[in-house]
Amino acid sequence: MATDNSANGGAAHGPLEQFEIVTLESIQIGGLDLSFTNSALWMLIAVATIAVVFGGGMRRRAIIPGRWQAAVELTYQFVANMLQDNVGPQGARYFPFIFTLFLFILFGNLLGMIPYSFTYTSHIAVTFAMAAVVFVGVTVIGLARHGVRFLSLFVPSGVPVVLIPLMVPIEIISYFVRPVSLSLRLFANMMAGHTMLKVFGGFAGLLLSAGLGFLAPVSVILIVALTGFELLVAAIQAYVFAVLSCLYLSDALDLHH
Amino acid sequence: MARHFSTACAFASTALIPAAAFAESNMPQLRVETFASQVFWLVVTFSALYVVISQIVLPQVRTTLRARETRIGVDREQADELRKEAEAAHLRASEALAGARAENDRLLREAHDRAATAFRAETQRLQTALDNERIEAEARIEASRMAALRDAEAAAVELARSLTATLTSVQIDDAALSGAVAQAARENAT
Repeated sequence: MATDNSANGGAAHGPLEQFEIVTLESIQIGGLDLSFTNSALWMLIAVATIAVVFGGGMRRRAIIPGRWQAAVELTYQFVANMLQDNVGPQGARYFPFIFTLFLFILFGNLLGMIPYSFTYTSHIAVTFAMAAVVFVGVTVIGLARHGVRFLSLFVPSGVPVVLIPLMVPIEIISYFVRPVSLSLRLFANMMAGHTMLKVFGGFAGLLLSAGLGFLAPVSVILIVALTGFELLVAAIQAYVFAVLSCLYLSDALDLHH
Repeated sequence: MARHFSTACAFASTALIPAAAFAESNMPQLRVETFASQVFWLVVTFSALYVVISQIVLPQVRTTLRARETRIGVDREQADELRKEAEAAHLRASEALAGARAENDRLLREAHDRAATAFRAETQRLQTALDNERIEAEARIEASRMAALRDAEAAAVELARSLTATLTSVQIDDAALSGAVAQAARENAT
């Protein structure tokens, strides 16, 4: 791969090439580059796919659901239960947002598994923007609901007074690290998984060109196994992002810490 | 738990990224000039999805789930009602059965009683009739016997008279003769 890189000048066929953002339609507004890129294209595809899957599944609204409708309803109930378990009944207001967030990440991750597609959740800008919305939203909800008492979130209950000067900074840091950890977790998982697949794929080609083609199937088998693992990670990471958003929301709504 | 698991996943997979990938600082993710476009299209598509989800999909799912719950509730109520009806009908049937059985017993007992009474009455009547006949017959026999005795006495008196007249020529008056015959008959009878 190193030879590839030097031959094509840069990471043309390196494992990171798949993350390259390619401008499809240049759009410049007020000095800002808002070009329609492959990332934007796959966001559109994800939204369209979700709309088709979820709109189509509910087109008959049958009392006894078919498989398609049952899948939509099960997804609905999965997220509804997640919100109910982590936030409680007062979280119902935020259900549309959490549901949208979960689906947007899930479909971004899953569509990214298609060869030659683009995974918009493998970019820190996207994951951090989403995490920031969750963080700012949760903080605003908490402040609007509890006012100054919201700051008691930084003072863990049942801690000896002596330890409070130590605990409060730790709590504040951990609070502000939330959007970073939330966005890094998703971005790193997606990027690492896709890079790994590409590395093993490139390795198979490398073995072939080195005359060790009989070893290539080993690499291919590993890719198959990794693909299964990555599908799991794609679903788990969407779930983790949504669950953590629910937990942060629960903190802001309840303040029981 | 999910938190720990995902953190572990993050660490595990981060460790697998070739160090070279990070060393090459030309990671596409770190190209700041692409951030504005990414965030802009994220906001656009995410908002569109939010509208589709919250305005179209979720209301549809909710109405469907609610309709199903209502339907199930109605069905269950109906089933409860039907079950109660069936139980009531069963109760009525067993009551009717018990009533019929009691009526049957009553009729049987009455018939039996009637037959027994009739039997007793008939027996009584026959017994009385027989008794009467027997008493009459006994009376008749007694009368016949008395008549026979009387005839025998008269014959004995006549015989005694003719014997005494033939053998002795003594004239015995009739009263003494019948008294002696009656006495002899009484001694014979004892």
